[in-house]
Amino acid sequence: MADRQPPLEGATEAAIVCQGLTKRYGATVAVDGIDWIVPKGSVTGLVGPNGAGKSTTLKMLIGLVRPTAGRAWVLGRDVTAESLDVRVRTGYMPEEDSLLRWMTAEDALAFSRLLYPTWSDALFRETLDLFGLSPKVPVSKMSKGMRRQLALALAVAQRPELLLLDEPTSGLDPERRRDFLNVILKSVAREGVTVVMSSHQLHEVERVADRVAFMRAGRIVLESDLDALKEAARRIRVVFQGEPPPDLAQWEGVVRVEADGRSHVLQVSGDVDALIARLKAYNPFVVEVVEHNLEDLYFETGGKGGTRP
Amino acid sequence: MTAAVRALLFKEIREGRWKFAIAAMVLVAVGVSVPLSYELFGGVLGELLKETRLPQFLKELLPPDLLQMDTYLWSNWHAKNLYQAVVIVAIIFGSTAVAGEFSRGSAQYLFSRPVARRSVVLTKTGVDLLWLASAALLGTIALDITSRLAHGYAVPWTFYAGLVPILAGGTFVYGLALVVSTRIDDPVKAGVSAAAIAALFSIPSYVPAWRSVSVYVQMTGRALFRDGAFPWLPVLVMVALAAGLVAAAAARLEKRDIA
Repeated sequence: MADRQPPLEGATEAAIVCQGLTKRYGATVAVDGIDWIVPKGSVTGLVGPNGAGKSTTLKMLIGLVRPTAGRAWVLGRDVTAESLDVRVRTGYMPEEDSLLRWMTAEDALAFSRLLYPTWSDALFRETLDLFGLSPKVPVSKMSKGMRRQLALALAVAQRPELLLLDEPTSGLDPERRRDFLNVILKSVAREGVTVVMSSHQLHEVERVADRVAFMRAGRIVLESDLDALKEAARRIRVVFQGEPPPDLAQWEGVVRVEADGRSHVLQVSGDVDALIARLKAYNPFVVEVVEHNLEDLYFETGGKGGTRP
Repeated sequence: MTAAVRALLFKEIREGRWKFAIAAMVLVAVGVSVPLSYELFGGVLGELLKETRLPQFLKELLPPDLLQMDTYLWSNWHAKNLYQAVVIVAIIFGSTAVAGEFSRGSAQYLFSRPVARRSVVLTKTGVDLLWLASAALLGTIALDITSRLAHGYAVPWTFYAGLVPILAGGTFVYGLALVVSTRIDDPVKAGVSAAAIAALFSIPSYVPAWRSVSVYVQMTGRALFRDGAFPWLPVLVMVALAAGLVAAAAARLEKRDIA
């Protein structure tokens, strides 16, 4: 029996809703009761170290792995009870090469077109052309990069409402990576598809994603709009000539102050320009805004325990 | 037939055609060799029966009706080569059906498509059994044609009807191997395990009181050869058991994680 997706408080339509989603393998907890909402039309980067539970989460969403506890809905459908319906609407690209070895791109087209009512031959051929893939070469004779490209072409050509991509660019050279990301972005722009992409390549996630979820030890430790996250993580570095203002920590817009001698790093919110103007009144040696990229944010969420994704 | 099943048929026929070709070639070769070896066998048997130094009790163990063509062909085809080949091919096909997807690394691709796992199992079973039946039929036709050409002897209808109990038993063995295939991801280990389990089912064959419940005895269709009576009950029982095994394999696959 399918469970109905719960109503979402003040949220826009959701492509994915997870409630306490859990996967245990014996005593090992791979995914630890995650609550997660992915808005429709968003591109979400799912980042975290190896073993964080990213792949298992995606596998539960596509119906390859059964949750031990909790529930999840994809495009409003229960991932356990309505898995077939979920898979018709969702494109999935696993981390491992899993295409059938004897298949050529043409065979894959003949196989896939029967499975997806929204399948587009034209889009498939267009993507193959972009990647420069021959339709007659069997998967067994393709390089790893070519196999990844074919897998993406298949996922995109089914014209899904949701794309789940597990480490999609692993094994690709920079040029192919760029083409690869362009296909994803084009798909988002043209079809309005929702994308969830797990990756170790933080700069890639930063390039395509508008949301990011950090996963650690089976939990989503932080999930936010990427711009808002960066905004919230902005810092001002200031080096005073003399003594700093004693009430600096209480200034409007200053969230936290870290001092190292005369050098201070201010975690700020709100109107940064006004704050800089106020600081300049003290004639500091240096006053500058420190922008954080995703990698900085990633390590920040991990604290001292943060490991490379 | 749904589009998803058509897609699965496309895949399974494409993937299984070489297995079928090899099985068919072996069975055709054996089918051709059985009538051609009749003179050799008959000559040897005749000489043995004439041999004065051979003890009488041994001569009684060599029934002279083995020299008759119908007995010779049945005993060498249905009761020996064909049923053994069908059992071996059924184990190979069944044990690689699901385990093969895992060992090739294609399980994630296949099971993330919008196809029910039950449909995957049923389509694989249908296609594999079709290959198995076709190979057995081709071998039998090859035997029939060779027999006509070499000896002017056309096999009776019961010879072809004898394929049914053999294939029913083959379906049962396939079901056993399929269940193993959903539990062991390595096709070689699955094949060895399935063969060991299939061998356990041969134990009743060696106990006179249990022979009638042996799958392998029932496969040979003795009643059909001796009395021309089609063994409906054994065939139905073997098919029902096979259906249960295939259903068990589908249920097992439905529950397992494709990690």
